[in-house]
Amino acid sequence: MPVSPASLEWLQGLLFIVMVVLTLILVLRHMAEARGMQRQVGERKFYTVVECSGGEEGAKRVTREYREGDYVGKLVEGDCGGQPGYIVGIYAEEPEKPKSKGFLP
Amino acid sequence: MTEHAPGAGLADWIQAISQLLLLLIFIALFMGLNQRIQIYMWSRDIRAKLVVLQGMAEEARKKTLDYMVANGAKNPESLLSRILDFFVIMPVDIEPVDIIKRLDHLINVRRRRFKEEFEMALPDADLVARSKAETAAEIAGALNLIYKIVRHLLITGEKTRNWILIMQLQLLMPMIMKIADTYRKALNDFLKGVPIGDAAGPIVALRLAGPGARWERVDDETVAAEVDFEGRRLVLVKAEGPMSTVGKPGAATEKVVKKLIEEGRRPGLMITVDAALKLEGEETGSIAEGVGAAIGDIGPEKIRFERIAAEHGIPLRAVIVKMSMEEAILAMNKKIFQGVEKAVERVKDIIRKETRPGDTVVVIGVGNTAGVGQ
Repeated sequence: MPVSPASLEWLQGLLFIVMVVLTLILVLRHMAEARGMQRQVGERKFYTVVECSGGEEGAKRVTREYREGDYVGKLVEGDCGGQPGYIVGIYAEEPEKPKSKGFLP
Repeated sequence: MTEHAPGAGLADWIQAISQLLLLLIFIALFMGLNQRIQIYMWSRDIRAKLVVLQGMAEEARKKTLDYMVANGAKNPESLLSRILDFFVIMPVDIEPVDIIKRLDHLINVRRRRFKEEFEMALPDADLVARSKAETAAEIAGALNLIYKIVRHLLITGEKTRNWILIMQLQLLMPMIMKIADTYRKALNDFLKGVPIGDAAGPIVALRLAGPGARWERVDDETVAAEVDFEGRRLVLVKAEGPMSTVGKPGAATEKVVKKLIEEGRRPGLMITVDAALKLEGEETGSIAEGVGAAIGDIGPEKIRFERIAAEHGIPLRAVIVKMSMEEAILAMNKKIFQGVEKAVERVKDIIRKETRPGDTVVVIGVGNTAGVGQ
């Protein structure tokens, strides 16, 4: 059965829509990448690990939020319920990133 | 008389023009049109990323200036302009005699120059603030250099129509952007004054020393302490914190070992602890041990460990905490912190197994000691 050109017009329209959608996705993806690069850090949380001097129960550790002026090796007071403490570590934790749902980042 | 269908003349024209266009495109393709289009698209992509790189370099410069101004800097813009383009010319290597000595000399001159410049620019700031400003300036310099090199390669590629150069640059851009982004984030962490991943070595030394140790300066920005550990004498060496510095661990260790030998206490073991780059797929914070000097130095410090150990027949052992390059210069994460705990235990195990009570052991925590005091 011969196919008339008029019956294929819908295909041309479909191809056009597919092209436009693909172009839009690529442009959005590119823009999202550039935005991601410029995004400021600052969402991370910093924690300080303090080792408390051994009381009757022995040395224990307390983890609290980082405070300006903390450094590893610093002797601190007030984190161990009256006992002197010693900072043994400071670390940063990234917040959990939402999982990418597909093609777009 | 022949009758034409209405519009047939227009259709013929359209068909003829289409064929002509196709022919022209076909000829243009043979003459390299496709390559030109491709180069244009690559160049556009590189140029877009170059704008981001420029933004990062300017942002780093501004943050460094702001930090210096906040710490009472005198004429910080002039200092930063000079520091950003500061360079070290590597010594002649086709004549390798005394190359380490020459390289060491150049590194010392550069270190001294930076230190003096920042002392003059920030006379009222403390040592920690000065070291942060110095590191911030180095990061700003690195970002500026990345931006300038990418720009240079792009312009050279476009001028000489070197599509291979542009293609290579375009393929490398994601990696270059990742490195630049890491530097940008690292600047915030250094200015905050928290330990970075590379501080794993100094933290291990500090943990082995404990809170009561008496640290003494043994070389430029490098300290040592001596403590007891299960009947052995541990001599610990690290950079002087909480400033942002790597110190001179090789030179300091050389002095410490010579002094111990003069006192008749030849060390039975030397252990270097450092952060090391992991291979993709390896776990961050995992530990490995081996033989040799664990230090990412370009030569002068590393060779000192090897020379002093070989000269006196001291076993030289290495413990590394694995991490990526990004993790090494960003604030320490929890996995690396846990790796430090494991490294402390591994060093203790090595000491127990390879030395006897009464022996002297030298442990060197190598790395940047920002946010790690003593």
